[in-house]
Amino acid sequence: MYRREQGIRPRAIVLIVLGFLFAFVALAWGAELLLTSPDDIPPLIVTRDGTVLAEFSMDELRDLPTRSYSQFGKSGEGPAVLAVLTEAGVTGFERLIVRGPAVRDDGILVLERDQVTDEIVLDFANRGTVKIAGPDIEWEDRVRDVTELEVE
Amino acid sequence: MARGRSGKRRLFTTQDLVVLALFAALVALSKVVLRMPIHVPGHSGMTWMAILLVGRGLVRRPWAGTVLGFVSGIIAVAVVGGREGLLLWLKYLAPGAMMDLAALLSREHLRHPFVGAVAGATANTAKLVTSLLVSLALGIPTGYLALGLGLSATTHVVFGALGGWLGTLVLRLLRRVDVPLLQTYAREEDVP
Repeated sequence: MYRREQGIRPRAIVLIVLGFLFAFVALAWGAELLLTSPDDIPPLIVTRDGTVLAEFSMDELRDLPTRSYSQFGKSGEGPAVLAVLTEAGVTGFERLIVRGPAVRDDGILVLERDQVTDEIVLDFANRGTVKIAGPDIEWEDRVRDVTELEVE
Repeated sequence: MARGRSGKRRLFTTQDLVVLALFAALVALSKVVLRMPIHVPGHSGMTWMAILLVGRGLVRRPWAGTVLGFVSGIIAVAVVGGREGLLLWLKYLAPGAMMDLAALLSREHLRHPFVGAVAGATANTAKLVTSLLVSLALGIPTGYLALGLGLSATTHVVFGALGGWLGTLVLRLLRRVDVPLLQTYAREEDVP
């Protein structure tokens, strides 16, 4: 009887823990399906001195000419940041501050004017948002789910 | 449980604390130094959970994992930084506490590969849950947090399990290596 109790308990614990893990993963997929919709993705805004110069929905960004880039053995595609800024009416700037909600990164990237080349793009991510990317932007410096491009 | 000179019971010996501090530094620095070109969320759990499991597996004392997580969290706040600020240490504390729970439930059988894998998966998932809670506390919209959550949860479980399994391999290897410190721990393990 004693041996039997010793044998059952660890197995039951492992089953309960595995059950929790599976339940968590299922819940995460469920939450993603139920809680997210295209309406959750706010438009990308371009600002200067606190004034909103332009707003772009993801569909509007898709309508802009795209550029592709290759990094880390993968390629990505999206509108060039310079093209988005031009579309917003920005003619000149010294610094670009890219902002995001900082869910999976620091949520901010500061680029000087000479760093903003034609190769810096707003890459369309599978999540339905855009991320700042380019051959010279390190993986850890990327800002995902970009919400604002602030020019100074 | 260790006893001090006065005969009072102590939770940790000085040696335990030194080992825990070393592993805590390793955990925190692994985020900075051991960057793997795997561009999937939760992949850092592979090294993180492995180091955590080895540290907890060597110092087989109650709360050792929690202390390990707490100290590595404090180091991470100072070294890694980030938007979470002081809340960052919670992300490190949670996996450590989960390792303690795994050790308790498995009766200190963290060296078993299956137990290690389950412990690693659970600890890495605890890290993700804590991260989500911290993000919610910081006021990040739920919709943003839910985007990509399914894949993130899956990869956290997978990489955590891999890390836990790797940790058990390292633990077993360390026991075979003739290092005086490890032999001390091995002898302590043999004491019923």
